Amino acid sequence: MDTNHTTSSRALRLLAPVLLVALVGAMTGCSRGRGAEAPAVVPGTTAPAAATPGATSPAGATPAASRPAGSGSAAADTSAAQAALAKAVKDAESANGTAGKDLAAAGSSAEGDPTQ
Amino acid sequence: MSRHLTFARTSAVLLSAGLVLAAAPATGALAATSSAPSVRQSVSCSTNVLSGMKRAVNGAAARRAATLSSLTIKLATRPHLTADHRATLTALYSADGAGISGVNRQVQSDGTCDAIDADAQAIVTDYRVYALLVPQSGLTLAADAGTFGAGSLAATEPALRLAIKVMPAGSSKDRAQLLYDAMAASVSAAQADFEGVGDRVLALMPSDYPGNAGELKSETTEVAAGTKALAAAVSHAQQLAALLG
Repeated sequence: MDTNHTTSSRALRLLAPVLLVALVGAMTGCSRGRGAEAPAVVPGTTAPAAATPGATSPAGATPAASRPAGSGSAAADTSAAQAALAKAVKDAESANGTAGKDLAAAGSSAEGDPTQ
Repeated sequence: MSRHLTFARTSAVLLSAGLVLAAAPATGALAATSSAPSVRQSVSCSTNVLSGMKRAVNGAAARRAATLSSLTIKLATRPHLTADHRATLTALYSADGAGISGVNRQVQSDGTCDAIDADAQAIVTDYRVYALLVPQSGLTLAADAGTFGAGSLAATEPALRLAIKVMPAGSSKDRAQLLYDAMAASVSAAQADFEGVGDRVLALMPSDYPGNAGELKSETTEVAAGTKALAAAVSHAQQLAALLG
């Protein structure tokens, strides 16, 4: 009995630091993991206006797209898509309106004064 | 800009006379002789005619300066222009304004009608503000705005694919897929139409006009097709949004 008790105590003393390190490591790892899962773009935020075409990433698109299908709820996926689409439609409609005006201005000048 | 380094003094007297006559109807003697250079040159260059020509050239330069000012202001209100295109257009407006102003100064110091005739045409031929620069500006602005708009819709495609994927099977899902496919196709078409327009039109030179007018027209057609495709993409996207909602 004494021999067994001594052996168990010695093993416990030897393992204690290892277990402590493992525990701390696991806790740190979990914390990082949660952070990594957080969306890079917060849904509902406005992406900055891009001087370079195509540089804008509509809010919500990245998180939904980067999440494997089935890992989130269907409602969340739909909601993210709706938010992204609503903003993109607004942006595209506005940009196309401007493009139409600029195109008209380009044409009217050339037609009105074709030689100069 | 290099495109303005060549100040060709061709014998386009008729073209120059057109510029003068358009701006100065009071110069009746010129109006009666504007149809043929040979007749035009036979008109005596009285002090009144000389003054009239100078006023007309001054007016032509002022109108172009006003146009350049308008273009500069418009440029500031367009957020989706690429940095390169903005820089190029800004430099063109500045260079053209300085160049036209320089030609006008030269004309105002000219002492003969022939000298004015030779100098004034540069306001038209070296800059082509109305025939080339205004269309170049409009097409570049339009194409860059359209590129931004199409890019905005394209960026939603991954999220839309996922949203459609998690929809329960049925007619709504089928309809959503059809709308998505139509939207994506229209976005791709718009992007293809707008792509490279700004670079190509800004490379056109006044010295090549009217030889490059066909290219200008072709790019105009491209941009028109792009705006049409983008409008279709927006329409599909709106229907898809309603379906998802």
